[in-house]
Amino acid sequence: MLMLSLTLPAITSCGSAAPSHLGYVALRGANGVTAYRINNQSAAFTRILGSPFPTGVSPASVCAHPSKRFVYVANQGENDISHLTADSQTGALSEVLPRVHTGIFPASLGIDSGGTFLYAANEASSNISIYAINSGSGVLTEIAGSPFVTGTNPVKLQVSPSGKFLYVLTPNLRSVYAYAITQGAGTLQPVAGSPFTVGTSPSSFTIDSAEHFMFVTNAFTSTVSVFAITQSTGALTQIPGSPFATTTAATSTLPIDVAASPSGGFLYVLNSGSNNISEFSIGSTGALTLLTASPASSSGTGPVFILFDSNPKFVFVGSQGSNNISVFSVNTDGTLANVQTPSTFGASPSSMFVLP
Amino acid sequence: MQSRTRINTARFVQLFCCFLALSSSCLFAQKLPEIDLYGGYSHIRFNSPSFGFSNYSSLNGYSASITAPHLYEQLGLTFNASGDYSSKLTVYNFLLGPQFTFERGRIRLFGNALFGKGEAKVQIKTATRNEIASQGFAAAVGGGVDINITRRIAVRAIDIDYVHTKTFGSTQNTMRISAGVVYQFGRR
Repeated sequence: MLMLSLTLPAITSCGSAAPSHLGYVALRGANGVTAYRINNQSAAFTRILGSPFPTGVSPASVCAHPSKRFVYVANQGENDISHLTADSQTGALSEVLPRVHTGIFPASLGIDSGGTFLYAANEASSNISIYAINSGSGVLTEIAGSPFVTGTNPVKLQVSPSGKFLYVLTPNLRSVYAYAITQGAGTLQPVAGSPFTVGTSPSSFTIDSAEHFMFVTNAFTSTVSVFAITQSTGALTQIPGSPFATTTAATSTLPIDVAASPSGGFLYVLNSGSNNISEFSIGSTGALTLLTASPASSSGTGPVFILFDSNPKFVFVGSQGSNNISVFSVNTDGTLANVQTPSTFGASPSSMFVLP
Repeated sequence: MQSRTRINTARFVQLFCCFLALSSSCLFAQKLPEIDLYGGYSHIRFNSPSFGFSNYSSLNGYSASITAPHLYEQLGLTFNASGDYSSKLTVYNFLLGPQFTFERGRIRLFGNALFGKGEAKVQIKTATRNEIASQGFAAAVGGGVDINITRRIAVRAIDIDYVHTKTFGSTQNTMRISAGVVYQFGRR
């Protein structure tokens, strides 16, 4: 019997899981975060059992630690951050209490690529909370000097791919604040020339993976402003020809979010007014050229965010009107094609984060 | 969840009673029928990625069955219950169906097609619960080899089943391997 118990498992050892990675979607109305396992090749979503996992009130932004063990959610309704741990086998999340206080109305989270510090943009208190991340437990500890004052009403922040700079969008000031991150300490030093004036009614921005350009969507003018990034200082300089229209026939309106392809070749602008996606190619100078087939139709209503999958062949679009995530494949010519029935939620998605 | 479990248990009691009724009809119509009781080790490699796990799960546990192998010549009926466990996942199957038995010398070959219910439980701890369970249709096709040691006792050298279950809104196709001891009542 002992021999059998040792040999029988070997007989059944056939079958292995398709390679996959995890994605997290914050659901504002459900006060929780839904976890998905995403197939590497097809981008098919498999919902993790137990989803949505409870967070605080009105989660607005979600991000995950590079170790894949911790997930952080900004709870806009109660001014704090939920820290959740991820089970490596089941993918299930469980919250570690107590929650960590932020400033007022945290709107956006970002983690440096080393997973050392977490940054939170507090929209109502107009400051940036900074936390040191314990690499073993994931516990957040606010660093000395935090929160750091920034421009009025920041709505989005992003740590640059190199981890050297932090950029903060303040739409009311039509500005992007740029900070150099003190390595090892996580503190912020304003970049010379910051804040940088961007377009009218800026709604979102992104930085290409090579850290050459910043793209800022301007909602009411339906344009995209492009800035060259001085890699040594982090300073922004608007390129000639910027801003670029998201449409040639007024068919793409109210751009609300933007994503750049990891290869740096294409840019996609999500238009909330027209429920579609403007498709651009990016020139070597950062100049944008609308693709002939642009725009691509979005399969949801009330789209709010767009991001690339860790497999750059796919793009995800979250829609609050239809409460779903749509999946698009990226063709070699840069055009997008809707490839799946959208994953639907019972509540509106506010943010998504995809792990490698 | 408790009420669902009670419903589940009631269904299996019904299945088991059907089995006993069929066996009993044989008992009174003829002589004492042969009844085999089996208990042994079970192993399955479960398709847990179908509901979000990172990898297939290897589970170990028990398999037990009660079989009337010769209700009509070589055709009989068997009821099987199995439970397989890992740190995160537990899988139960309760199955009933016909079995065909072929015997030569000390060797007995059998094949069966079983139907019933499966249940998967996943240990996911949150503030309000410790596990999530799902029940659904289950079926198994397979067979095995018994080797008679004495007139009453045999060793089930191997029992291999292809088990199909529907839990958590997805389907799982799994190989189940079992081995153990058979005690034969009423064997002539």
